[in-house]
Amino acid sequence: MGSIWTVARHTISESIRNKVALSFIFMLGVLLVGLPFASKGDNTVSGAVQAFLSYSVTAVSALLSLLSIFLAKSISDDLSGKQILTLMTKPIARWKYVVGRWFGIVCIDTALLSVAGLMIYGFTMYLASRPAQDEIDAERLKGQILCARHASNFKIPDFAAEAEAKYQENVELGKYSGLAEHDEERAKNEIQAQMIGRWRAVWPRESRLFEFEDVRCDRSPESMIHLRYVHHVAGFPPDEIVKYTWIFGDPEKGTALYPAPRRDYIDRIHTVSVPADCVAPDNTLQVVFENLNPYVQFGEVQYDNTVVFQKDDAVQVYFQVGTFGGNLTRTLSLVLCKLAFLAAIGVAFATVFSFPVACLGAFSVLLLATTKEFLLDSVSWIPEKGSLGLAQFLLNNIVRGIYFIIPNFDKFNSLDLLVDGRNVTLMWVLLTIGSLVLIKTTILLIAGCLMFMRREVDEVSL
Amino acid sequence: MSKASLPVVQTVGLNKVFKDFWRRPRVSAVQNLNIEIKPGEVFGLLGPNGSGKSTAIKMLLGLLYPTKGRISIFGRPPTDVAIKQRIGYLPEESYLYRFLDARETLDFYGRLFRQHGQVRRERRDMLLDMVGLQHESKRRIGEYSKGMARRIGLAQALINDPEFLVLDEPTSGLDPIGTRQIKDVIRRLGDMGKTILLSSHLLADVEDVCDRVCILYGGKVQAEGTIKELLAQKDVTQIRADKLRTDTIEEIKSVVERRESKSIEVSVPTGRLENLFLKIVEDAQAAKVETSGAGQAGAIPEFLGAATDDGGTLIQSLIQAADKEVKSEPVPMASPESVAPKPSQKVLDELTKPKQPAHEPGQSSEEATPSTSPVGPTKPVQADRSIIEGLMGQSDSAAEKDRGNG
Ligand SMILES: Nc1ncnc2c1ncn2[C@@H]1O[C@H](COP(=O)(O)OP(=O)(O)OP(=O)(O)O)[C@@H](O)[C@H]1O
Ligand SMILES: [Mg+2]
Repeated sequence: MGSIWTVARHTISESIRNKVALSFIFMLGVLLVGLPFASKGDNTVSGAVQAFLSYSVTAVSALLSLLSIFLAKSISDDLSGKQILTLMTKPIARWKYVVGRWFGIVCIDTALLSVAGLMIYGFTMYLASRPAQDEIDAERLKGQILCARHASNFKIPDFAAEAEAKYQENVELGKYSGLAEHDEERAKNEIQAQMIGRWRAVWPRESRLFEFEDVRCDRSPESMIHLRYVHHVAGFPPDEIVKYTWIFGDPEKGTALYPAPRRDYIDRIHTVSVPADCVAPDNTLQVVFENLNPYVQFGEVQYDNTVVFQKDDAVQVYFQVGTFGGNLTRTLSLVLCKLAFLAAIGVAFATVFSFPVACLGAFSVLLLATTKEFLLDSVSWIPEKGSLGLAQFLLNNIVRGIYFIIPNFDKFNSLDLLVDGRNVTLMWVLLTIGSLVLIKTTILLIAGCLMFMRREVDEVSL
Repeated sequence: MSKASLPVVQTVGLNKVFKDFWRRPRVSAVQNLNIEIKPGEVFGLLGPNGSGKSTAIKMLLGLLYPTKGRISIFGRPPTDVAIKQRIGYLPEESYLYRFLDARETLDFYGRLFRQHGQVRRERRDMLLDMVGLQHESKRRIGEYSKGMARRIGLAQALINDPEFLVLDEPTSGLDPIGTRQIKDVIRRLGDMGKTILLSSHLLADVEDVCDRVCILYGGKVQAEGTIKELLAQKDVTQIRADKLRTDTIEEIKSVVERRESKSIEVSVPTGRLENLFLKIVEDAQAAKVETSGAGQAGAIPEFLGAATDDGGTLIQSLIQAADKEVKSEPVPMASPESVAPKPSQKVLDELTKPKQPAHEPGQSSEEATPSTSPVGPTKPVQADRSIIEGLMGQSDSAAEKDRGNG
């Protein structure tokens, strides 16, 4: 560890002397300071904050990605400037040199990212302190952006037993006897799907129970939970308004009960907030939806006020699980994982290639990683089997290996959640550290070390 | 213990072929090199430019991998990290970090040896003092002159108090005093029982400090042995004496001439290894030994002739002085007047005096080594001699002959 740290320290002081860090902070300053005034959004404070957040985090992570790759120059420089000759005659193992260089880059990234994080946080707070446009704006800012909320979807009831019974009934009625071919399993699934479809639609004067699990929030009456829902109505009411009541709480488990009568425009997202003591101690929440609309018959026209919750996330409970600061930290941690990976790519390339080539290679990987989602969607160009026999087999596996190493950066992008005030889970961060840093980065570093140990350090880089 | 008798360096059939991008052999830089360096020995590696000295050294240090052959250093392969603890290396150019200052440089290398704070700082300051850069230690290496960087390079090689010191052309770029200091350091370390491998073009220096030398040409060993062995000439009688007066020498000359009808030559011993070296290189060239290094130098291109009008006289006088020095006309050695004009001597005096607090030139063992040439009686004159030697007699003529014949 001693010599790794010596090399890392050396890398850091090199970047300070070369004014890399300084110029980065300067550029960041220009970007961030100019931005809060430039970005207007939709004239609301909440919109401005959201625009600022998504822009600044994107800018910082792009800038640092480039920097991570550029900093691998120190290895190429050692090789082309021959400082490596002196270095490698000192008692330091070659792999320690490579890892030390990488670690130094990660340290620089961490420091710069921390500075950037503080600046982003500071500017966000500054933006948020400006007077809100209206009450909705203020509430949105506080409850939906500058927080870390978790969303739970409702539980879809299990209709398997009922579907089974219905199927048996159908068999007894002889519904399937005339069919030449019939699949029992499929028939049951169809029946069940019908039942769920029926369950999602709440007829006038009908009520429906939504159950949520894992609502792990602070259950004191001071904290609030938010129900967010979007619904469709079968027939359009003339005033486009529907009436209903949400009733929060579970009388059997002795929680507080909160009825919330509503008159809402249809087809929009609505939010109801109630105190959190309606959540049961076992972290379950019951919400009953009562459709208060009548069937209305105006002469010929019939208004069917059946309310339909079509999608699985049509009704969600949001509850506070953390702070905006924590969320920002976790988002930046994910960025740091990516930077560590990119640094390893740069370092691995620099152990073999001259700087321009190494840079080009690392940029290609960055490009592939950012577009992998798109690539995966649009092409499936790895042929399973081909006519080339062994060569095909090797080719496939090499291509697959490369594809494995190149991560899908989209999977580690939590910016959408951050901007939406939704919780970026610690689990996500840990899994990313596991897959991106502990596995992929390590593989790259090992590859870099092996290549570096094999090579003659006095050889001219390609 | 058997460890003491174990050679520090041993190579068996060492070969190095440089290949190009397509793995095609391009240059055979070292061929069948077998050397053995015993503990406490000062070993010199000689050869014209491109003869494979640096390549051999880099293979010993694990910076290049041999194409064929085996190397053991302290009984271990050169890639072993642990043996690096006992090695100091000064590359042919001081490849240092331009953005660090002298202190930070030594600090960085000290850290790599896991030296602790106090030890590291002490050694750093002592070494800076030794190479005479203690006052410039806060400046970036990037601003240093070549010789200053070279000095830091040397300090860096000594930071771990190495048992085995590898110096690749340690004196390149150094002023006469620096050259002299390096020689002193090498000699002192040699006396302390350190093993030293040295490559140099300054044959006089090599002769002064080395126990054994190996002369390479075209990657092959042309001659190897102790200086005595190599320079032993059976058909020559050598008369050695301390400081002879001019008239004494004349008298001896006339005696020899009368009795044996032979003329005697009074010369500085520095010329001897040089002669051997030149002979070996000339022989190798005559035998058309293949080399990938520098070949015979051609005539000076005509377009350079125009310049001689201005610099010509100076160069001419320098060459003349150098020639006199090497050919060593018997008597004039004693009087510096014939070597250099008086004014320049004064200038040299002024230049060198304040810079020599650490080393009294007159006391150094170099001056004490017996030489057939009578040397002036007073110390300042002695100092001048060594400086002029350093300036012209040795380095210039050696380099010139080298270029002319290598
Ligand atoms: N990295 C390299 N790639 C290709 N050829 C090389 C390399 N290093 C050295 N050579 C070649 O090997 C031969 C020996 O070079 P080397 O540097 O060992 O000579 P040298 O004896 O140290 O010369 P000098 O006195 O000029 O320092 C030369 O022909 C040189 O061109
Ligand atoms: Mg050399």
